[in-house]
Amino acid sequence: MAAADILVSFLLLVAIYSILSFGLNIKFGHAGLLDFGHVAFFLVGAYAAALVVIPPDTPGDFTRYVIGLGDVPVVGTWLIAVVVAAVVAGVIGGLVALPTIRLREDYLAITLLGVSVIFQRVIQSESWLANGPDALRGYSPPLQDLFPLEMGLVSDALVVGIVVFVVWGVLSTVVLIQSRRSQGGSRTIVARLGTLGLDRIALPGGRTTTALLAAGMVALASVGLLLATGGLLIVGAVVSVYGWAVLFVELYQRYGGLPRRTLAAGTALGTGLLVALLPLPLAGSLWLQVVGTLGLLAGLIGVYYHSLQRADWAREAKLTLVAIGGLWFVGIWYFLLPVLGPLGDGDLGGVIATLLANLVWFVQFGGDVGVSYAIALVGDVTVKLGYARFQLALFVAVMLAAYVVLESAVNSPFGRVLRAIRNDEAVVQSLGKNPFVYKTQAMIIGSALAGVAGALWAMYSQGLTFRTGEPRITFIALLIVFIGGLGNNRGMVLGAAVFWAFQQATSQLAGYFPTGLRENVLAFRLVVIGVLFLLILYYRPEGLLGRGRYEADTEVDSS
Amino acid sequence: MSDILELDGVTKRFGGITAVDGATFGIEAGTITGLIGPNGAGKTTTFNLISGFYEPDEGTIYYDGTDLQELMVPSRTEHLIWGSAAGITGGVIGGAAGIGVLSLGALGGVGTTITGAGVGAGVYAGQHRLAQTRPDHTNSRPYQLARAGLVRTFQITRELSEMTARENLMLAPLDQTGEHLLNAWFRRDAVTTEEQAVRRRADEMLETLEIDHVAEEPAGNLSGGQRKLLELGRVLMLEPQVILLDEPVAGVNPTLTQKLTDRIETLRDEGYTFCIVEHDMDVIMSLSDRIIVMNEGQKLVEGPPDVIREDERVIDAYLGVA
Repeated sequence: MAAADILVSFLLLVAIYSILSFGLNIKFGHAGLLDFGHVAFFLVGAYAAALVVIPPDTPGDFTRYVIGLGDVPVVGTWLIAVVVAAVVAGVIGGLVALPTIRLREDYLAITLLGVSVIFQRVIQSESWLANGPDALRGYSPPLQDLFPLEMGLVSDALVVGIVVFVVWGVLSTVVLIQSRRSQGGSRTIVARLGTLGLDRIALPGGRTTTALLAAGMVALASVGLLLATGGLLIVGAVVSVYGWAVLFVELYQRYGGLPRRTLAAGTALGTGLLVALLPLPLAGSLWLQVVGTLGLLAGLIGVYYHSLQRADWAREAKLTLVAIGGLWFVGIWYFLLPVLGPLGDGDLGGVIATLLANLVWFVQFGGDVGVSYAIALVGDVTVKLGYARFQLALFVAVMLAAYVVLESAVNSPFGRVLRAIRNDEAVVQSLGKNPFVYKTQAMIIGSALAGVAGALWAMYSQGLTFRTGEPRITFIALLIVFIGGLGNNRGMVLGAAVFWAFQQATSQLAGYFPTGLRENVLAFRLVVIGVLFLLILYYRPEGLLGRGRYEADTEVDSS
Repeated sequence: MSDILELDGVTKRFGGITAVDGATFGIEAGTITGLIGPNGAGKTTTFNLISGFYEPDEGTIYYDGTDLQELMVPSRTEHLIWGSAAGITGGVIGGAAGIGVLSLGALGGVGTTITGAGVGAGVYAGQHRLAQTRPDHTNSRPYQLARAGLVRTFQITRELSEMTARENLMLAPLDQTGEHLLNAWFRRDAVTTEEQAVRRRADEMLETLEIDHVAEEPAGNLSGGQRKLLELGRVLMLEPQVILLDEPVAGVNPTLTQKLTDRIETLRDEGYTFCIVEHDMDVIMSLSDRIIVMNEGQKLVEGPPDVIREDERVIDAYLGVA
C-alpha cells in the first residue's frame, strides 16, 4: 500500500477522534467537568445516525431494530443523520447533566462513567431497539454508490470537486495562517500561487475567506476540466504538487532555521529508532527479536535522556528533536524503504508505481503493476479517486466546521465564564452568574460533538455493536486531551494524530511476530498507552501544545 | 429608615456550634461599616449569610427592604432548562407509551408525545408554584444577590489563577451579550464591540488600582496584595450598591493599604455602601463611619469608632489593653 493510502486511513480516524476530543475538551478542558462517560454520547450519536439512514426493518429476517428512516426521501440522508445525532446526543447530554452536574469533579466522573455503562448495556440487551447484542448493519456511507467515479458525469465531477475544494482549502489555510507572522520568500510564493493571487487583496474575514475563495475557484476549474476532458490525472497532479509544496515550505519554515546540531541530533534519533527495529525482520528467533529490539530501544531512550540531562541546547529542543526524528523516520519508513525494497529485487515497475502513487497522492492508480507503468503516463493509465479520499474530505470538512464553531464559542465571554467556573465556581456565583446554566450548556455542546463523532464513526465502520460504547474510548479521548493540551482545540487534532500514529505503527510492528503472538502484542499496546499517559502527566502535564491561550478579538486599536 | 441591610435575629448553627446567634443590626446606605470582633466571633459566617452563601437557620436578612430568600429565586433561564427537561422527558415517556404500549401508530404516537411533553412541563411549573407558597421553602441562588447589587470578596483571595488579571476583571460585568452562546455565534460584531468596551473599563480599573503592569499575568502569579486589589477591582466592575469586603488589607503593604483605603473612601463618597471585616485596628478605626463589634455570634456594641475605642466591653473582649 502506498504511503498516501495509509495516510488517508490514518487521517479518517484522526478526524473522528478529534471531534470526539473537542467534545471532551469543552467539558473538561474548558468547564472543568470531568466526564468519564463521554463515550455514551458517541454511542448515542452513532446509533441515532445509523437508524436514520438504515432502511426500515423487514419483519421475518434475523435483524430487528425499532425504526429505520432510510427510505424516507430527504430525511433518510446522512446530512440529516449527522444533525439528528448531534441533537439527540446533545439533548441526552443535557438531561444527564441536570441531576449530576452539582457533583464534585471526581463524583461527577464516576457517576457519568456509570451512565455510559448503562447506555452500553441498554444497546446490548434491548434486542428490539437496535439489534442488540448483535451488530447493526445494512446501511451504506453517503454517495458510495457513485463510486468508482466515471469522469464525464456531472455528479461524479462534482464529487471530485468537493474533495478538491476541501484539500485546497486546508492547504491554503495552512500556508496563509503563518504568512502574516513571517514574510518568508518561498512561503509567500507558494501562498500567492495557491490562492491565485488573492492573498494580496484584503478580503473581509481574512485568511479563511481567502483560502476558501481560492479553493472554490480551483474546485470549479477542476470540475470544468473533468467535464471537458475527463483528465483526473491532471487535477490530481496539480493538487498533489500543491500539497508537496505546502509541506516543504512548512517544514522548511519550521525546521530550516534550526541550528545544525539540533537537526543532526534529531536525524540521529530517527535513524536510531530505525536501527532499533532492525532485529524484528532480521533476527532469527523470537527471543532475539524481542530482546534485541527492546534493548536497542532502551539504549536509544537512555542516550536521549542522558543528553537532555547533560546539554542545555538539547533540553530546550527536546520536543523538536522528537519531531525531527519522527519526520525522518516516517520519511525513510514510508518513502525510502518501499522504493528500496523493489529496487533490490530489480523490480523497476514496482519502484515507479510506488513513486508515482506517493508523488501524485491525490489519486490512486490501478491496473497491472509492471514496467508498463513507466509508459502509462502517455498510454492508458487507470486513475481513480478512491471512496476513502472522498470520505476523508467529508470528515475533515466536518472537523473544521466543529473547530470553528467551538473556537468562536470558547473565545467569547461565554468561554471566559466556562474557564472561570473551572477555576473557582464560588467566584462565578459571587459575580452574579449562574454556573449551573453554563455547565449545562457545556455538557450539551460537548455531548453534541461526541454525537457528531459517533455519526462519523457509524459512517466509517459501516456497522455498530454495543462495543462502540466501551469505556476505553472515553479514556482514549481523555488521553488525546492530555497529549494535546487541556483547553487547546488545536492540540486535540495533534493529540489524535499522535495517538493514532502510535496505534498504526505498533499494529504494523505486530506483523513481524508469529501469528500466535500477534494478539498479545496488540493487547500489550494498551499497557504501553497507559505508560504513555503517565509519562505525559508526569513530564508534560500541560500537553504538547500547552494550555489554550485566549485573546479574543478584544484588542483595542491603539490608534 | 436608610438601612440598606438589616439582620433580624439571624442564627446559624454548624452541628453543636452556634456561629451566629441571633445577630441583629443594620448597615446604613452610603457609609462604611466596620465589623470587628475576636476570632470565632462569627464575622465571616455573617458575611456568608449576607452574601447568600449560607442560609440562616433562624431570623431574616433584609436587603433594601426585601428578604434575601425572596431575591434568591432561580433565574428564568434555569426555569427554562428544567422546564424543557421535564417536557422532553414527558414527551419521550408519552411517545413510548403511545407507540409501544397503546399501539397508536405514528400519528397517535405524535399526539401522545405532545401530550406527554405538555404534562411534563406543566408538572414542573405547578410543582414550582407549589414550592413557592410553602412557608419553609428556601432558595439558594447566591448569584441573584450579586445581580441585585450586593457583592462580596473572600477572606482568602479567590482569584481565578489560570486567567490573566485582565480576564479576571473582564469576567465580572453583568449580562454581557457574548455570555449567551447564540450571541457568541451569530452576533459577533455586537459581542466584539462590547468586549472592547469591557476591556477598556478593565484596563482603566487596573490603572486605578495601579496593577496595570500585571494585566497579562495569570492571576495566580500575582502577589498577595495585588490579589486583594484585583478582587476589589473585580467587584467594582459589577457597579454594585453594597460591597462586603472580607479583610481587604490583610497582607497588603502600608503604602498600598493607604491607597486602598483612600479608594474605598472615594467610592463611599460616590454612594457605594461598604461593610468591612478587618483585624487591622488602625485601618478599621480611621476608615469606618460606624463599627459593629461582634462576640460569640452576637452584636456586642455598635457606634462610631471613637466610642468603640473607649468601650470597656470591647477592650475586654477584643482590643485588650488600649
